[in-house]
Amino acid sequence: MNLVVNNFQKHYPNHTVKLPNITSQEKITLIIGANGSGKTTLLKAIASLYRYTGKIHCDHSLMYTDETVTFPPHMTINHYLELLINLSPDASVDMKETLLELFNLTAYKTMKFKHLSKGMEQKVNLIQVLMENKELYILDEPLSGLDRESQMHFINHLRHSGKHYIIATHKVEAYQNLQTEHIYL
Amino acid sequence: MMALLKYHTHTLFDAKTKILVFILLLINTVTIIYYANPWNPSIESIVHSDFTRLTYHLDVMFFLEISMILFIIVLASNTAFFPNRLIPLIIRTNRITAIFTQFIVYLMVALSYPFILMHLSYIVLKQTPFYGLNHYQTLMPNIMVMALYYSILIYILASLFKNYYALIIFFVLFFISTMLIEPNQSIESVKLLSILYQTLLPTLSLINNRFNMLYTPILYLGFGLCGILYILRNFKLVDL
Repeated sequence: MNLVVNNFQKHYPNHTVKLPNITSQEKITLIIGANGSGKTTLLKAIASLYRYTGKIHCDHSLMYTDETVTFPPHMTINHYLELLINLSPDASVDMKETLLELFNLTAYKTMKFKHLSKGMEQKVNLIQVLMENKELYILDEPLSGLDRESQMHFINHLRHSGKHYIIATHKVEAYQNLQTEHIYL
Repeated sequence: MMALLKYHTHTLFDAKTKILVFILLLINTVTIIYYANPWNPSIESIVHSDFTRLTYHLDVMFFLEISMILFIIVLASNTAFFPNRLIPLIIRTNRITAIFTQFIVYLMVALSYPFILMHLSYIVLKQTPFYGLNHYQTLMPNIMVMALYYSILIYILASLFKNYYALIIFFVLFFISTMLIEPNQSIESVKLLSILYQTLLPTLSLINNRFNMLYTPILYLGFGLCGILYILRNFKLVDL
C-alpha cells in the first residue's frame, strides 16, 4: 500500500487537529494514539468522509466503517446484509456466508438486530465491510466488543486475505503476530 | 437507484408500523363512511355542503388529524433516520445519492398516507348522490400540500431529535398551528383548547382572524426552510 499524508489539518469549531506527515508501505497499517489525537479524523479523511486541508494520497478502492453503526432494529442480519449486497457490485453472497461462518454468526443470521448483543453487532459491522471486494479496508477499532476467539479469527482473516488495511486501534498487542507498520499520532 | 430506494424502504418500516398504519387507515375509512352515510341523521348538517367541506368537518378532521399525528409518531420513532445509518450507504454510493434517495422515500411515505386515505374515502363517497369526481379533484391539491407539509415534518423531527423530543416538539407545533389556522373549529371541537384559546390567547385570536391568509403560507415556508436546513445539516454531519 502506498499511503502518503502531508500537512494534514482538520478544523473543528473549537479546535484544530494537526497530524504529522505520514508514509506507509505495509499492507497493514496501525494508527495508534491517545483519545482525541485524530485517529478517526484521519480515517474519515482518507475515506473522503471529511473535509480537510493538506494532501492525502491513497490510490486504492476502499471501504470504511465507523466504530459504531446503528442498525435497523426490526431487520434480520441476513436481510440487512443482502440489501447492502444489492447496492454494491463488489459484494458477494458467497463472501457474506464465509464471513458469517468466520464470526460464528451463521446460526444467528435470522435474528433481528434488536436481539443482538453489542459484540454481535460489531461482528455484523465488520462483515458488512469485509464482504466488499476492495483493495483497502479502513477500520476504526475493529476489535471493540469482540470476544477473544472472534479477535483471533479476525486477525487470521487479515493475515490471509492479501488485502490492505488501515486500522485505528488501542490494542496493538492483538496485532503483534502480523507484519504491520505503526503510525503514532 | 432502485436498490437504494429498496434499502431505505426496508429500513424504514417494521411490522408494527405496517399494522398501525393499517389500523389508522381503517379507523379513518370507517369514520368517513359514517359521516358520508346518507341515512345517518347527523349528516344533515353537512349533506348539502361539498366534499371539501365534509373533509374539513369538525369530527372527520379530528380523526384525520389524530391519525396523522399517530402516523408521524410511528415514523419519527423509527431510528432509521439517524445520520450514522447513512455512512454505509455513502461509502457505497455517494453522499448526494444516499441523502437524496432517503428524502424521496420519506416523501413518498408521507404522500402515500393521505393519498390512500382520500382515495378510499372517494371510493366510498362517490357512491352517494352528493359527492362526485369534481370534488375529489378539487381536494387533491390540498391533500398534496398537506402531505408535503407532513413529509417535511417527519423528515425534520425524526432526524434532528431523539424520539421523545420529536414528539413533544411536534405536539407543540401542532397545538399552535391548530389554534392559528382554524381557531373557530378548534373552539368548537376541543374544550380544553377552547378554554386556553379564549382565556390565554385572545389577542392571538384577533391577530389570527386578520392575518390568517398570511400566516398559512408563512407556516409552509417555515417548514420548507427547516427541511432545507435539515438537508444541509445532514451533509455537515458527514462533513462534506
